[in-house]
Amino acid sequence: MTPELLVQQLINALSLGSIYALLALGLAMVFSVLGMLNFAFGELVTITGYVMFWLVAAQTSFVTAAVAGVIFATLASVLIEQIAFRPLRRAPFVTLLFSSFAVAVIIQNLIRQLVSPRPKGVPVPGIFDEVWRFGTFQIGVLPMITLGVGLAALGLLAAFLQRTSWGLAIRAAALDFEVARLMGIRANRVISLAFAISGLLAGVAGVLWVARRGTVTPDMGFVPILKAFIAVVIGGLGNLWGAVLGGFVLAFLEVTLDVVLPIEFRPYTEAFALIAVVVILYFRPQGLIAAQTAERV
Amino acid sequence: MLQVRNLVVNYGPVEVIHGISLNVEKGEIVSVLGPNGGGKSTLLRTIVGLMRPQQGEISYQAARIDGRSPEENLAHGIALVPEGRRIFSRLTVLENLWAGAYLVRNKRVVDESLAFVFNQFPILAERRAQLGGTLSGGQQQMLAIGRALMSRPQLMLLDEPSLGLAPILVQDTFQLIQRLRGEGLTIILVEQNARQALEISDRAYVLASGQMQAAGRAEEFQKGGLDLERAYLGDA
Ligand SMILES: Nc1ncnc2c1ncn2[C@@H]1O[C@H](COP(=O)(O)OP(=O)(O)OP(=O)(O)O)[C@@H](O)[C@H]1O
Ligand SMILES: [Mg+2]
Repeated sequence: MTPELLVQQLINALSLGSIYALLALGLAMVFSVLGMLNFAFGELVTITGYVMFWLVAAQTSFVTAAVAGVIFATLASVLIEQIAFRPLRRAPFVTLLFSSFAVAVIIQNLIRQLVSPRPKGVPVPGIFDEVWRFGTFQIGVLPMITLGVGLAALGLLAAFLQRTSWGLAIRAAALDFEVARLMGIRANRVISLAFAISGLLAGVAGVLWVARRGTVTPDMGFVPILKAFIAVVIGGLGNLWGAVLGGFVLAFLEVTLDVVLPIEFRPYTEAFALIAVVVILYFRPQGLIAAQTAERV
Repeated sequence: MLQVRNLVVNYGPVEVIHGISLNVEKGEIVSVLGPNGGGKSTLLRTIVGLMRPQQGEISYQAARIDGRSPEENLAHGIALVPEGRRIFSRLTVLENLWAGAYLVRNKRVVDESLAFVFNQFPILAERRAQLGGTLSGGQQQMLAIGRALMSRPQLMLLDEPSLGLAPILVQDTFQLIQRLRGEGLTIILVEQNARQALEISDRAYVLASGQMQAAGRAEEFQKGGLDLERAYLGDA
């Protein structure tokens, strides 16, 4: 492989990885605080996509549409928790799982009924398709923007979690929810906050996702939640920074396989990536960074 | 300061506390002793509001508090140091302590509490940047108690603070509890280590099989006027 190609693929992997990392962190955020897998997480990406589709079609600028998409995803996430999960707070794990699954199905069908079951195009700014040239190196603008936005979002979130008292509340609740309550951290508030952050991350990832695909479909949330789930499992369930790491690992696996696999195997890249994940989990069943839930005596 | 009357507590359909009463006066150290599974932790968890009682009343400073959340109770000065310490293993020592002061909005007050805790436990000051999970058992116990102190409680509930500690550290823990009472705290101490707990307590209750089997002044248990062993067996 030429150095040019290597750099290109590296940037591809990093940019894809930053999307996966955002998604995985969003899913892990709710999982670690509430111990529930939110199947409706992918639909937050979908909501972002359709808000953007609608606003761009109404001649709004792409950036405004993107910001609105992120805001809607954040609000939707908080609202879904209050309507579909909060009344079931004491219910068993499986009940919450079904409830989130129901939310996902309802949102998908609402979009099918109210908008269209068929794909809709979201025109992206021309600059996204351009390529920057540095001597013999060619670097796509979109992967660079994706990487920049992704890393900026992760950095801001890390600063929020590490440096503010709300961030401390989230991290404490993620480690031991009951003891967090004993510290005076209000359960409903920290859960709302976790869902808000989760929605925000889904929104930012959603904007980047839409910018790559240029279309929206009612079931477009499926692939993002699948990737998020795999990344979270790789990183170690219930561990925030593990999820970020898992996102990048998954992207590197996919991009590497795409490069090294013979052309006729390319359609099965994702299947091979899954096999690689199984191998990782065989050697590290708790994920790369094990969640620490066990108590020491 | 705290009154518990005819308290009944269930886990789901199973009743584990069958109508117990207890009262604690300001400035006292009151022990709750008893065998494994007697319901001691359940009692403390119910007082702070982690669990709702099925029946009965809990009042604190003349107000009914059954039904209040742990957050509200902490704001009113009731703190629990839970069984097994349960420090936040992936937060630093300092972050654990800050978490304990979550409800304290005044930065100066937080710094004062921090100075008090570091003064009590100089080793925590040394290890402030270390993750809680890397501390030894004894240091984790100090951190758990220090974290509860950060909210400036008036009533502190300690659930088996000596559990799993070396004998010398057990001594230290009991001495610390006495010092805290000297600072004006009221203390409910749940212990398996009955003999040592009685040495520092004013009064004691024995809770076995979800019922109060005996109650009295600590000396009465020590001198044998009240039979601790029979109370433990649950049919005194
Ligand atoms: N989460 C739970 N679900 C169901 N039953 C429980 C639960 N926790 C405790 N119990 C039961 O409630 C009873 C009282 O338990 P509790 O933990 O309050 O006792 P304890 O006196 O604190 O015991 P130990 O000395 O072992 O800490 C026991 O019979 C126990 O099996
Ligand atoms: Mg107990």
